[in-house]
Amino acid sequence: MMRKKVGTVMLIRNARRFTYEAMGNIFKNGLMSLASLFIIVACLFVFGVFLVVTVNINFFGDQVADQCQIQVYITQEASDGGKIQSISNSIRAMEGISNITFERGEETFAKFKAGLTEEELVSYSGLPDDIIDDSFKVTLHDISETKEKADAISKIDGVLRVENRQDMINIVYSITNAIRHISVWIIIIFMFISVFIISNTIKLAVYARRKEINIMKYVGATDAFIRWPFMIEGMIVGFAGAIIAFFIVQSCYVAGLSALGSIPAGAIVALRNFGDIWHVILLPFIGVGVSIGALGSALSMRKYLQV
Amino acid sequence: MILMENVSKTYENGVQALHDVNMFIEKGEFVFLVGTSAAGKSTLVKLMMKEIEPTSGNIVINGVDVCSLTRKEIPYFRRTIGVVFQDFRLLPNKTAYDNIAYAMEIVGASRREIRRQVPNVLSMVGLTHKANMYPNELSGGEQQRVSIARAIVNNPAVLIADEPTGNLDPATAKDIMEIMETINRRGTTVVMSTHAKDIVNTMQKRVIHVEGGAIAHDEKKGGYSYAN
Repeated sequence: MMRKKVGTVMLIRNARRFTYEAMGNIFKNGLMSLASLFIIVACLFVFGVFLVVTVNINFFGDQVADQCQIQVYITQEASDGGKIQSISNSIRAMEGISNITFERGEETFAKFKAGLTEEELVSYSGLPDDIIDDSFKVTLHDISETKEKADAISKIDGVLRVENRQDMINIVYSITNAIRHISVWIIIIFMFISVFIISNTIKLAVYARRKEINIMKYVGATDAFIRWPFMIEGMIVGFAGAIIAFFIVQSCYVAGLSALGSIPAGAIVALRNFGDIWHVILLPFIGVGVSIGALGSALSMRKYLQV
Repeated sequence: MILMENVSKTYENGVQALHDVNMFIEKGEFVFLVGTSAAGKSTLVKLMMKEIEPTSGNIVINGVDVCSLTRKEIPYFRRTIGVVFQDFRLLPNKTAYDNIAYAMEIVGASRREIRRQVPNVLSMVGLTHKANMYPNELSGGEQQRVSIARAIVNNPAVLIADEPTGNLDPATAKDIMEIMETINRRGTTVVMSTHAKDIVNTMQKRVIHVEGGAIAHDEKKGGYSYAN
């Protein structure tokens, strides 16, 4: 048999032709393309909402972790006896320590007093500046290890006592963890639903064009030759859907942020700016949109190529 | 060249469409397949295009053993035969020109070849002035001419036409037959199934008369001999 152009060679040679064909088909089958586009946008939007939530939950967790430092007070003797460096080294040597800073008791006291009003200050006025012991602020990589690390640190020689906000850490940790898990599952479920809906939509489009596909087969077109324009069509629609969904998510997010902006500034945590996270949304959107489009076309065409 | 040896076809629903058919059509012949509606003409045409498989027997077309073709080889086989259908089967969202060009694109023809060859066949079927019209803007006869042009654009050795005049009025059908004859005179083997008595009688070509799934008559210069 004379078998001339096969596989990728054929694709490269015909890339322009296939793309023209795909573009033409998108407009000629306007309603179907629009339906597919709409579904891709809708699914990606839901996907985007959870993506945004997940990104912020992670950010939220990081901020909480920063605030949930362990305060390590050291004894007066250790401080005077030049043991500060060796305690610091001992803590640093432990695994899971992200940051450690030293603070003189005087500084701690000064900071504390700076946060008080005139009237409140009166009751502290007689106290000596070194009333508070010198301390380290220790930040951990994983706040779930707080208890364990605090216990270990308290055993180091020269450590007076260790303070941490274990109760708050526990609550925040379990909440963020739960939300993280839920959003991962919801994202997975929505991916399945959207692939299902989209491949059905494309199936409808392909069904409407089964006669065309049939004719192509009669004239001697190979499966690949028939399939490519449909796949490219799906990819273009998926790409367009990704871009549209991105802008919708962006405007919703920005609007949401400015609405939240009016909440008093005392809130413990902040949300991320869209400028910092746009790529975390746009890239998955394009990837998911294009592959859903291509996959949906390929899957739904299989049946009609059997002529 | 078309050769059928002891070809039988029984469909999955149990209908026996062909029974032990033997047929030899030489290169360059013009052959009519005639017979009543359920005689087996369509089955013969479908077998020649490898749309269906025979239950038993051999089919050789242009030296290719059609029965042993794999699924992947079918497209390449179909390019060596031109097909014309009763219902034209043009791609609705392509112009007359693009419908014909598509058949060339499939075989990997260059743009230059396409630009040279498509106007050739369009002028041969007398449709140069309607090249940019879509199928729904063309009359039935014009659509059939486009479909013939598409069938011959790659210079196939065999042209198979399944009731090409079935949807056309007699005057238009006559034009179509003239085109078919021209194609045949250029050396293409033409196999045409038809119901049109007067066409068969005027053309005075070989007539293979299929009846009840078997060949009833095979006349070198025949007429439409059976009672309808």
